[in-house]
Amino acid sequence: MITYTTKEDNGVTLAVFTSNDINFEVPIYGVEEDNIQQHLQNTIDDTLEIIERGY
Amino acid sequence: MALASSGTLSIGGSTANRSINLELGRSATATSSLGESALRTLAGVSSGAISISDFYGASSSLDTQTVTSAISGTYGSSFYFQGYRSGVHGSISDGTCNFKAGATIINLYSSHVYSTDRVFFELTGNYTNSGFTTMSFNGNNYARTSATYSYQSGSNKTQWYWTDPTGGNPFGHTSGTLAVTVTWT
Repeated sequence: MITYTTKEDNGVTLAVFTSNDINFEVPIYGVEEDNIQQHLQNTIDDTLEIIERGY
Repeated sequence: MALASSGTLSIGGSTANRSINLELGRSATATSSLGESALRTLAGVSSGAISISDFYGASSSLDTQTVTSAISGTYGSSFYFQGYRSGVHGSISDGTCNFKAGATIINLYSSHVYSTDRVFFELTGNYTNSGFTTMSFNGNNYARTSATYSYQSGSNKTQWYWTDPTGGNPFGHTSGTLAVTVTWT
């Protein structure tokens, strides 16, 4: 379970959380409530992959 | 792009450096008036009389950078990159981010990895997810609030990235280098 808070930024809802010592802010508009956890996990995985590969 | 510093300017019109509407990101035919707050802000005249000549050299951009985009890898292959990555490919001028206290722009590039295409904007240091609304180049706009934002303490890097709307050619070239103007508003 990814624990996050939300903030509004120019009318867009962002999920704010920290994972793997990385501070994230991720737009979650348009994401069904049931899918938010998976969306955030995918974002973490993508970012870690980018860091690992160097791009 | 800044408005011209001399010659004819107009509120409307379709010439990029002579149309106040276009500088403000409005359509060429939008209805605008000199007394509007957006136009006053652009002109730098907060109150009182305002004239077209007040708009000479005005720019709505927070920053403008020139990326000499280069390609790393082979365009059209499974892996390739465009734009500027510090020490890897391309260059940037002047490379300091005006709206983030002169932060160093370490990378401004796109990646194509199999079927995944992304555009990255990265600063050295820890900066908040704020300070600009849109990054634009080659006719594409990258809204900050659409980006995945992160601060990565391990590399002391602030990163925004987007899905590349062009599907692999956001910098607009397939070989060699190309100078691309990037603006932030």
